[in-house]
Amino acid sequence: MKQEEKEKREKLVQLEQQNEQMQQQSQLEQLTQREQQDQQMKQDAMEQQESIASSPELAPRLEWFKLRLERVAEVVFHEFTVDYGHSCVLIYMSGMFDIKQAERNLLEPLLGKVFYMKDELTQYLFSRNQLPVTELHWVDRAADALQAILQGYGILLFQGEPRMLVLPYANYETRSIVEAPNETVLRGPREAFIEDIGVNISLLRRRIKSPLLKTEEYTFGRHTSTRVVLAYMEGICKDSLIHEVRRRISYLDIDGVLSSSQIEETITDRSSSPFTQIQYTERPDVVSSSILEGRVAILVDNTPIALLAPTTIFSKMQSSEDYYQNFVAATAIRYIRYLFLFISFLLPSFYIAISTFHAEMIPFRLLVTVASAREVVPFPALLEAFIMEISFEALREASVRIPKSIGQTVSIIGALIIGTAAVQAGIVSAAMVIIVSVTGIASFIIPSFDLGLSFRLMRFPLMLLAGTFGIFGIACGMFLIYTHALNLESFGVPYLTPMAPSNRDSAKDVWMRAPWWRMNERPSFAAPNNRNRQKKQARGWKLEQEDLE
Amino acid sequence: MTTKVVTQKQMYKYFTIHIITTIIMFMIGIVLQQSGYSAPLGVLIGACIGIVITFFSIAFAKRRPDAFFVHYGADIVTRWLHYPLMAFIIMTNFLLVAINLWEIQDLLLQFYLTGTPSWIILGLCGLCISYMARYGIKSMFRAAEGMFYLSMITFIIIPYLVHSNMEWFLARGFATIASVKEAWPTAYHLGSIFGEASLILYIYPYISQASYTRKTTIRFTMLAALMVICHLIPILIVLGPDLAQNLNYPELDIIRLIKSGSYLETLDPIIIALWLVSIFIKLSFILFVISHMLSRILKLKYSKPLIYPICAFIIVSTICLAQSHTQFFSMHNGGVSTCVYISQLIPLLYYVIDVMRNRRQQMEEESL
Amino acid sequence: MIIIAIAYIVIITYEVYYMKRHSVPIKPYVVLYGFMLIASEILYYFKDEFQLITIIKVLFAPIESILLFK
Repeated sequence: MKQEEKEKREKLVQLEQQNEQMQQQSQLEQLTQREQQDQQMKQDAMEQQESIASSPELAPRLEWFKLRLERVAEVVFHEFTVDYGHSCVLIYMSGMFDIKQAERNLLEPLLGKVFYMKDELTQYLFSRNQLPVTELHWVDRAADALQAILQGYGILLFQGEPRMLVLPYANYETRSIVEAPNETVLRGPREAFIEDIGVNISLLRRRIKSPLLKTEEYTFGRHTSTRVVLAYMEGICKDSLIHEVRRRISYLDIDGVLSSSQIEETITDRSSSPFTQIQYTERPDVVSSSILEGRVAILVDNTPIALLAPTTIFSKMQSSEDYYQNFVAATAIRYIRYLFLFISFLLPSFYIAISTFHAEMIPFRLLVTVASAREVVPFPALLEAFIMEISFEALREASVRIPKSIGQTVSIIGALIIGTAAVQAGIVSAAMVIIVSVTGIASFIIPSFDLGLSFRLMRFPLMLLAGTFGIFGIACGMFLIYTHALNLESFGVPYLTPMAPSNRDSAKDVWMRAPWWRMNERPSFAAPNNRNRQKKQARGWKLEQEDLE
Repeated sequence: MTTKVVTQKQMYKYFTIHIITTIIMFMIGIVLQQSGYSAPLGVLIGACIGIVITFFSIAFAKRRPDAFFVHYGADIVTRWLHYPLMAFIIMTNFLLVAINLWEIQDLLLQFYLTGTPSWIILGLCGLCISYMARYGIKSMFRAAEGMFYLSMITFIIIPYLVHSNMEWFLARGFATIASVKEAWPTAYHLGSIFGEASLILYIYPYISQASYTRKTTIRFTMLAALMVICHLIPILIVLGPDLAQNLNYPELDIIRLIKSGSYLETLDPIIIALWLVSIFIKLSFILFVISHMLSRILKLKYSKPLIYPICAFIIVSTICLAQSHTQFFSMHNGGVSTCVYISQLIPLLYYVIDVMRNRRQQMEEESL
Repeated sequence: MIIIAIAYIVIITYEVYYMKRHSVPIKPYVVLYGFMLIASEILYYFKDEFQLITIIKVLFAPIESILLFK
């Protein structure tokens, strides 16, 4: 009996569950149906509006544009009539549109002619293309026309004609090309990118005059409609890389793209890392050479900074100057840079470790000097170093913000007077001042600002470790940083590439700067398939000469 | 399908570091105690033992190159035998990590960080090794690749720097005193460390160009043996066997003899720091193998979330490993090597059973 | 002992958070974590009475002394 009851109950429960499920499903279906209906209605309304906007009648269309551009102060609706009786409207944004050109090339010819029939006018404008304007084109959709107006183009509407003429006279003030302010070189070109993306692309195209240089354009930002261009060499750049960049970028849906860093942080492999995995530069020559190596450049409108991917830590240690100087000197300088990279984030912690834990490491006389200097200092070495390093970072940050006219005064006060006074007052030791200044200089030797910054920041935890565990702590800290950097990837390329995993071909440009005539191949991490860069024996003439002798 | 992420070059560099770090840092004192002048001979014999063990495990791994031993092992012997054996292997590897960690903290506490509580040091070491192990198999091998030349330089430079302190008359001992009988304890202890290369079996599906594995094994074992001998001989010539026997870390005392001009008094903290990094790589590899095996035995899909807890467990067991230095060092004669040998030879059992079964199957098929 | 427990709790919280983010089934892992926590607490509690070394010595020292011809 009990079993039967149990079975019955179970059946009932099952039935109830099924009912519930059915109900839930039907609710879901209803919901989805409602949503679909809503969407349909919205779409219908939009289409209706669109149909109004793209109707041949002028008045409703004008109404549509006026409604859209309500309370927009700089928009101009210039209504005029072409003989006989064809009414037209020119819409543009003042300040972004070159009205003089439009007057000369559009209004003058139109108003100087007589069109008896409407067909004559349309033929003149659309079929025979007789206006003295290049790049003239037309759109049917009102939304496109609106976008064009907002981008600084002029739109010409006609009575009885659904097509709208787009006048390419966008003209706004841009900064002129100036010398690269942050990445200066002695021998290389001086030009830097500016905010206008058109000019920036022209700077690239002027260097790479090849149809294989592709510039794919995308628009991002719901409100800003910012132009973003992917530039790469077809056939050199890996297809998978381009696909990957496109794929990652396609996820970007944000109200405004105001700088390249928004894109950078969206598409970077690991954004929580202190190391940035995308390189940026303001120099068109750097971008061009990277593109020729098979990398992808991302240019963003209104940003004078281009992004480069993939990148490795070593390409951030290279300066464009290296490639313009004698390769022997450039190689030597590179080693100095590597040395100072370590100094920039190890020296203070090393000092702390040695002075607190491993005093036996330094020779006796030096030890005496250091100890006597530290004798009056009331703080332990760790605290002293922290105070000095933090005030140095504050000084550096202040010097960026301070207006240029008083910047020098502040830096003199900060660096010289405070430093000397602090030493004389016995608050910090002279050795510490020397170490902090050397560290400060060292951190600016790193060509990439963000790499320098990340190393500067990692100095602080390392100092803490050094103060608590001595050199053993430094070793642990370095190990953690090394492990982290080791496992970073930039678009599939390991961050420490020619070192770990080691790669002999790419190492040519890392451990030394090989002379140009020896760099026959592109680095394999960027362009594994098409590596041949130049004819072998670029210095064949020399062999020839020697043969003659 | 696992991706073949470990190249032969990486394996060569990794296992060289894997073998020499422990031997040079912690084993030299024991080796000299037991063998004296015969130690270099013992190293060579130990290397041969290591190669043989590793070859067995490679031969076994080759039979199923794309599958993990932990998985298919149950098909060869029964499941009831497989899991206890795997547990034993895991425990042995556990012990290896714990012993190494104990030695690290002992070394640091003795010389550099006197007064620091040992659990803090162990915790920091544990953080380092588990952080690396958590990134997966790639990270250890890449790390070894990046570190290789630097650590090799520090290992090579020491014998060179102490050459002014060498007492060459002591070198005669190599010719007159060496004997196989004396060398045997060294060979036995070091053989277990050289044999650690048999861990290849557990990561075999990750290895690319797996057909070259045997060649690579010979290369790294030879290099490691050479490096160890390069360290043993200077210690014997500089300190002499009698003094070296009574030092816990003769290698450290050798380094302390180095005086590079008058700029730096001693280099030992820096060199110790570099060695520590090498040992961390090694330990994180073993930790990775442990978590990999454990996750597969327990039928868990991912091994990553196991690494930190396992490491914490290892640290606790390290604290409970031994109470004093003397007690710990008595263990070196007390069976650790044997325990390691047994765990290394367990795959051999599987191999034999597997071969026999196959034969029987073939026979049956033929008879049909 | 408290430190061990705290360390484990930190680790377990981190791992559970990590697994949730990657939508990995948590239950078997948490059981294992609990087991490890208890095991290490027991190990630590009895650390004065017995050391791991003694087990190894009892088990393997005889074999080793035979192999080393002692």
